[in-house]
Amino acid sequence: MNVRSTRVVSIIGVAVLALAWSAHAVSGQADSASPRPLASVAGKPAASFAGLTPLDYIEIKQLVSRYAYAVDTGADNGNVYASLFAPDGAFADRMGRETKGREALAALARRNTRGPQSAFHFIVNHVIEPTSEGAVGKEYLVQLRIGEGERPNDIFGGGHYEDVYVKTPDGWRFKRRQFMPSEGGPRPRQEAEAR
Amino acid sequence: MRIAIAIAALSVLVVGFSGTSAQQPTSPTPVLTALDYLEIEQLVYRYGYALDTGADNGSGYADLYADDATFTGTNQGPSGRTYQGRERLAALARGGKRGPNFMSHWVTNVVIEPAPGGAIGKTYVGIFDIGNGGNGAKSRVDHGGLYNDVYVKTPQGWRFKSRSFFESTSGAPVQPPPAMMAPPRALSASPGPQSPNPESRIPNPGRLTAEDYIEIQQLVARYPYALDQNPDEGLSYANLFTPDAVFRQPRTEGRQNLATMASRAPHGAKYTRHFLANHVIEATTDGAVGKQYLVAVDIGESGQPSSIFLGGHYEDVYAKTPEGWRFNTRTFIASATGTEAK
Repeated sequence: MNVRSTRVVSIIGVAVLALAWSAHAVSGQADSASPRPLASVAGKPAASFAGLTPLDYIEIKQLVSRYAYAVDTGADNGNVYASLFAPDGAFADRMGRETKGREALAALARRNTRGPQSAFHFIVNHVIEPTSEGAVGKEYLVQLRIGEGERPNDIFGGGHYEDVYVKTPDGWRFKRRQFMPSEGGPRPRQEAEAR
Repeated sequence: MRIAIAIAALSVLVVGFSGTSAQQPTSPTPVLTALDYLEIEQLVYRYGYALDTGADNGSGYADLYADDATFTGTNQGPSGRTYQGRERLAALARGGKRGPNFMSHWVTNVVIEPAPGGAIGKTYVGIFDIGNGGNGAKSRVDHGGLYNDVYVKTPQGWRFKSRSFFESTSGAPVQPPPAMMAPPRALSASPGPQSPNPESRIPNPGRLTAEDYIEIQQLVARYPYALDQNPDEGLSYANLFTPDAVFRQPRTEGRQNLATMASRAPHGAKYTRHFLANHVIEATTDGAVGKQYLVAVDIGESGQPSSIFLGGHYEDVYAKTPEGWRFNTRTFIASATGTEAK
C-alpha cells in the first residue's frame, strides 16, 4: 500500500529526531511514557516500531483533529496551520508537489481559509501505525460546503490523507502529509442504476 | 500506576453492565485498558479502507474478522442477510466501485463498551459517493446508518466477532437494534460506594491522562445516539450533561429542559443524523474544553436523495464528576464563510 512506501521514504529524515525524543512524553505523564509493545490491529505486524503509548495515539489523533480547524479558519494568519508541521515538514498536493517551510505553509492556509466560522474539512477513519522512526497514518477527508451563501449545502469532494508523524520537542507534528483524491475507477452503468 | 488504578475502578463498574447481544453466558467481562479502546477504534477505522479499496482481493477485509465471525446487512432483502467465513466475507469487498484511492465508508461516533467475552460497540456510517478526482459535481451521500459490533481479542489483536448494518430510518421507533449501551461511566474516576453528589467536581491538575481523553471521547461519541435515537424521552441525552449544564442555541439549562429539547428533535431507533469529526480536547485547570465539527445529514429514505441539513462546530466545556466526565456547556456554531466574527 501507499502508506508503506511513504514510510520507506521517510526513514532517513525522521530517525534522528524520533530517537532523540522518544523518551519524552509531551504531557509529562511519566507513568504512560514508557513504550510498550503493541499488537498489530491489522494482523500484519508492523515492520518495526519503537512502540506507541496510549498518549502517543491520543496526541497524534489530536494533531490530526486540529488540522481541520487550522486550515479552515486560517487562524493567526495561517501560523496555527504551519505550527502543526515539523520545522522541515511538508504538505504535498495530489500531484506530490510539496509546500515546505513555515511561511509557505502559513501562506497555504491563508489562501485556503473559508472564514473563522467555517467547517469544511471533515476528517475521519484515522488509522495510526507505529514505525521505527515515529508513526504513519491515514484518514478519510470529506469536504462539505455548508452555509455558503445561497448555495445549497453539498459535498465538494474528498479523498484521503497519507501522513508521516514525528515526535518533536513540542509534541507530535506532521513530517509529511499528502492528499489523494477519491477515485472509484470505472463503474458499470447497470450497477450505478441499481443502487 | 494510574492505569492500574483505572483498571481497578473499571472492574467494579463493569459488573453493572449487561449486554443484550448474543454472548456465551459464562464468558467473563474483561477489563478494557486505554490501549484496548484505542486498538478497537483502530480496527473500526480500518474497516473503511479494507472495504473501499478491496485490498488483497478482499482478504484485507476478511482479516478484520475473527474466525466464524459474521457480517449482517439488515437492509438486504426482507429479513436481512448474514455472511460468515473468510471467503464469503472477502467476497463482500470485491467488485463494484472500488480502488486503492476510493473513499466511501465514513465511520464516526465510535462508542465502545466492555462486554462478556470482549467488547461491544456501535458507530455511525455515512456511505459517500465522491466524484472522481475530487470533482464535487457528482459527490453525494449514497446512504448511511448504524453499525452494531461485537469485538473479540484474538492472538492477532482485536477483531470483529459480528458486525451488523442498520440503514438509517427516521420516524416512529421500531425494533431496537442489539448491543444497547449502558450510560457513560467513569473510566478513571472511582465511583465510590455511596451515591455521589453529582454537583461535585473532581479537580484536574491542568493535564489529562489517557483515560481522561478516552472517557471524554466516549462522552462525545454518545451524544449523537442520545439525540438521534433518544430511546427514553431525552433521559440518556440529559444525563450526558452536568445538572447545571447549559446548551446553546437555543439556550437550554438543566437536565429536564435538555431532555425536553432532545425529545422535540426528530428521532427513531435506527435514525442517524449527527455525524461528528475532528474532536479536539484540551486540559484546563478545572477540567477540559473541546470542540468538534458536526454535519447533520438527512439520509434519504425509500430511495430519496440524501441532503445536508446543517453543519458547523460545537464548543464544549467538560467537567469531571463522580459519575465521570460530562458536558458542562455545549455551544453549537453554524458554519458560515466570510470574515465576520462569530
